[in-house]
Amino acid sequence: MGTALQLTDLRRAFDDGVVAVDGVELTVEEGQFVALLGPSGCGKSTLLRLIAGLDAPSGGRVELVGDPQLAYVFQDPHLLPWRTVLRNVALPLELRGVAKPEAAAKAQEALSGVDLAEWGEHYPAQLSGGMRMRVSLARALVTEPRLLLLDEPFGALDELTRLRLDERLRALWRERGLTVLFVTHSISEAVLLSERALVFSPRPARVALDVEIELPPDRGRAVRTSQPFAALTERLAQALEEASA
Amino acid sequence: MKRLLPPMVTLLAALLVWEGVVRAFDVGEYLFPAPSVVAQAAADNAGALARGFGLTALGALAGFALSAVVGVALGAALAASRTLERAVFPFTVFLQTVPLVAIAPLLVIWFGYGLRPVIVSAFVVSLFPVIANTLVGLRSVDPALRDLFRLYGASRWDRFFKLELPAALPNVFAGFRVSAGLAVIGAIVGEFFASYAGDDAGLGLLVASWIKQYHTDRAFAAVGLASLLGLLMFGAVNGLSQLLLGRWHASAQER
Repeated sequence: MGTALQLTDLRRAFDDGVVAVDGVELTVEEGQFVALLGPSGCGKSTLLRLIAGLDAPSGGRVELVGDPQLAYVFQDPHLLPWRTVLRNVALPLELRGVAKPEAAAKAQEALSGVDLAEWGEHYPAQLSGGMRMRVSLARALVTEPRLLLLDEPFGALDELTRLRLDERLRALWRERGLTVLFVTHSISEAVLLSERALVFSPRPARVALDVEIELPPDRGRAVRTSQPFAALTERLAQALEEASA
Repeated sequence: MKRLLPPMVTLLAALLVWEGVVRAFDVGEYLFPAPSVVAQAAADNAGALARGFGLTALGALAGFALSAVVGVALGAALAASRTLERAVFPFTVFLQTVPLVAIAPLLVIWFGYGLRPVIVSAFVVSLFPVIANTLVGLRSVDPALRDLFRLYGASRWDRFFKLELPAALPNVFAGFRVSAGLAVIGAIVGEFFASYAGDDAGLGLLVASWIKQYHTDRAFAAVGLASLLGLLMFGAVNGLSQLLLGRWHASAQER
């Protein structure tokens, strides 16, 4: 396994003088599931946007090894309301010039992957918040990305829906072996999902703690209620508190 | 039926009150004719009114169609460039503030008598709402969706036709709705000055000439038809909006 992503002395200062990201050094291995944890508004989202190339750094470098297929999941589903669910999922392929029948077939497959196979002909407005987020996830996965960036994707959902989606995401990651960067402000979600958790300081975002999440790959209820899970949660909580102090 | 009944009841009640008041107070026909008198006048002049309605409809529709096409194109051009918007948009406001009655005679000088100045008049007054609303719609596209299109390497073309235009469509139709009514007003005002004598008289000229002859009842009939034309155009735009946006946009959904 090689390196998937390398950030060198990354910095982003906005015109109004706000420094969102400063001096971030980070190397992510291919196939790693990394959780980025930090207080709200600490610059994690900016970091993700820099990695995705949606924003340009003021200093330092973002290196994506081998120019991987990249997908991005936003905080909100951000679906096109005038397109059916299926055509929303097919959109990234369509924009890349994939023929419509092929795009539709792949989109249908991606929808099945998030248990929405029956919902392709509905419009986003007819779906619940959790279902819309799953559509958004399917839209990201339809391009078969090697690097998946998620920006607090399940933050607005109820606890149970969120847990289900976390499990689904982790299963997809294990199936496909892609590299995942997952921004969250929930400590337990970070521990539940990732192999490695980074705690960021408040603005400007800097890595305050970088810790391996050494838990069994299958993170069922037994693991969630285990002592090591609690210990890791406590450790991250402490680091978060110290970083914010 | 549930949607048509309430306005019909209102209309009927208003007509009855009107008829009653005019009869009770014995108002002169040339001042304020009763609905029954207007209906009689309409029946007696059905041929002229029908031709007038057709002509005015033609002028208003052509002017509105021009506004729709030119307005969306101009709105899109202004949305594409902030500099262009700053340079041009203030002058499009002129379209809205120009006193139509003052320039209508000019239009006759430029375009001669006949249908052309009527179309131009309808076009001039109905253009601004389309430009302004298209611009707002195109400018209010969700930035996250723009990011998404960028991330997936969308072409300029795809970005416009698959994101910006559909996202702006509810606003564009809001502009069309206002424009459709204005186009009728523009056509009527245009006809006051530009209409052609004889059989080729639009509703605007019919109103103007009948008022001069104190045929108030006939003029009322013509005004009623002009209102009907505006309603029909508004209804057609609404129907089209329903067709295009009904499945996804709140503005077109049945409550």
